[in-house]
Amino acid sequence: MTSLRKHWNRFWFEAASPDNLGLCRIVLFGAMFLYYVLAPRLFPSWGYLADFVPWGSVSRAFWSPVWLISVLHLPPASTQVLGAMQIVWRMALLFGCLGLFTRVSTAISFVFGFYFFGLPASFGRIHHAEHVLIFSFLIMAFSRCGDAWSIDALIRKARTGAIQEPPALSGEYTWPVRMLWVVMALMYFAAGVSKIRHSGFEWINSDTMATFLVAHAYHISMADSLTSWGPVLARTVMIPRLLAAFGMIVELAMPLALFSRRFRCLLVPSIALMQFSIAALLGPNFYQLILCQLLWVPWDRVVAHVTRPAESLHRYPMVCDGQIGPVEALVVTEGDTYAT
Amino acid sequence: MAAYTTCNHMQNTRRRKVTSRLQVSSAVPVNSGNCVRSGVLALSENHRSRHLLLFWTAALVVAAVLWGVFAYSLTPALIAKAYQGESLPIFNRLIGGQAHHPVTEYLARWRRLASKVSFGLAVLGVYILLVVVGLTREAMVALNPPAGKVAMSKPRLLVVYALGAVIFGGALFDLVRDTENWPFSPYPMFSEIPPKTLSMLRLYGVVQRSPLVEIQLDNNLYLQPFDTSRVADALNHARQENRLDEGVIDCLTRYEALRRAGRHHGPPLVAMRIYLVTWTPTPSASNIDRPDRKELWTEVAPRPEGSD
Repeated sequence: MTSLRKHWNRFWFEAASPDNLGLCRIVLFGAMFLYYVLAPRLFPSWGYLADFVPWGSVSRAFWSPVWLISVLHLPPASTQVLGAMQIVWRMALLFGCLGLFTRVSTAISFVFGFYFFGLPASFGRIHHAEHVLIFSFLIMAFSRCGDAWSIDALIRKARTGAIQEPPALSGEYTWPVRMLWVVMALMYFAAGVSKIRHSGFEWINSDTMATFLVAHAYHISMADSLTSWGPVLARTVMIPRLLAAFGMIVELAMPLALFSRRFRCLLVPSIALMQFSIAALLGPNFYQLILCQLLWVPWDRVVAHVTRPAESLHRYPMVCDGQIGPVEALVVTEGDTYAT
Repeated sequence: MAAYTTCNHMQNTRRRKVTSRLQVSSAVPVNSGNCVRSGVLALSENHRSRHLLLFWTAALVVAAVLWGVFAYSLTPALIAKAYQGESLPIFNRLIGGQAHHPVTEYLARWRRLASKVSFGLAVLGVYILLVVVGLTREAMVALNPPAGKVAMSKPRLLVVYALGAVIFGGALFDLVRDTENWPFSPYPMFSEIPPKTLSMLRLYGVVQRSPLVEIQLDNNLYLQPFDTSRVADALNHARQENRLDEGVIDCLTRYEALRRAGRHHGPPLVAMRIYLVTWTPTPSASNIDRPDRKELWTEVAPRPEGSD
């Protein structure tokens, strides 16, 4: 039991520097700001999905609010109101990225984002690309993600005048990133479980994927596929089954990425590849989700590696058993360092 | 000698661990007496861990065999007996549709269910095995780096736990119940085995009436912010609310407004129709304009100018 508690505390609250959380904030809010500002302009064939203002002019005959929108009695706003809200929301995303008024900007990102993502879902069909963003913004709003790599931190430093100590290591900087990971892993795992529940092994060992690949040529999706390879691949027997097996295995295995760096290195690119393959072969695009996979990257180490390559190259761990004399030389062999 | 070897092994392990985890230059003094004691401890821990691993592996194999016998041998036999009324009364009573359903149908249903459960159990088994392997490996290494200190105040911890409870409570509720309470979801997209035919509501634009020329409005740009998948569900909802015509008029108005604004290059329309169309999909989608069935639900014409 003690061991379990140790594992639990280590996973969620291991003392860490604020760097990684601050950098994850920049990546998340920066990527989403760029996505929601640029997609409607650069990719008109599907980018309109990233513009929420036109929903203000849609007939109320189609309005069927999703659960939480219904519980909160949120109505569909007018085009003018949505236009103003969208400007504020995009500014909040930008400020969140820069770390300016971080607490407020992340909170606005969540509240307005929640409404914006719920709005299209309340007009007929729920697409699942933006669920992860709702939870990500919520987690960031509750976290202390502005303690480092932010304008707020610079302002705080300038106000105090003197050289300030960097924020102490704390579990405060670990739990938000871990919670984001768990949200993503659980999401994919749930998708895998749904496939088992509704279809079982037949989902792989049947023409299911081939049928999906062909059906999407009938323009039934939120976006047309990036390539016309889907129907071609569907003509073979094995390739669709292999694709199905790959997808299901990666989804079901995703929770392993939480506990093992090796699995993370394998599963996170695999899941991004799966998402991209869906866009390429079937049509539905989950680019926001693909971008969110960047949150698995230990950005603090990346930055440290990029900014201090020479220093890190010449630092070696050293272990002695207390009986050897003073170190005279270091011998470096493949991967190991010995003191002589 | 054994202790010495273990000691070396531990130092090497520690070195690898430090290299991978800390990546800092540090000298870690290890008292040699402690090393001997911890080496002996590690040996007994190794034995225990191996036993634990063997136990769990054996338990999983036994469970898998038992499940296999139950699901693929006993239960089908039981279903066949119960179908013929030759089993225990409690099982005989479970099957009452002998007049309408052959026994093969019951067996096929059970096989489908058993296949799903088997698959789920296999995944669960893999996870249990991985957890056991992970825990025992850590115990074998006998290196428990100190757990990170929880340097957070109690109220703050409560906030974090409350946040986690909301997020993961909702997610797990929907996962277990297979319900969709937005923003929580069991993410069921693409999870069903699709039927051989494809059936959906589709809007058509009437370009001219005589002779009738109509085009399929399957381009996502025609009705933005709707896409073709969402508009079909939205129209279905409008129909349930007896507001289908109102919905289609909205689509027609939207189409024309977007066309005039140059947001798409579709032809001007004199009317809009909604059909329930059914295709048998082909790899080339060559029959996209010739569905197997096409059932007209409604047609609307543009409102005259100033009718609002």
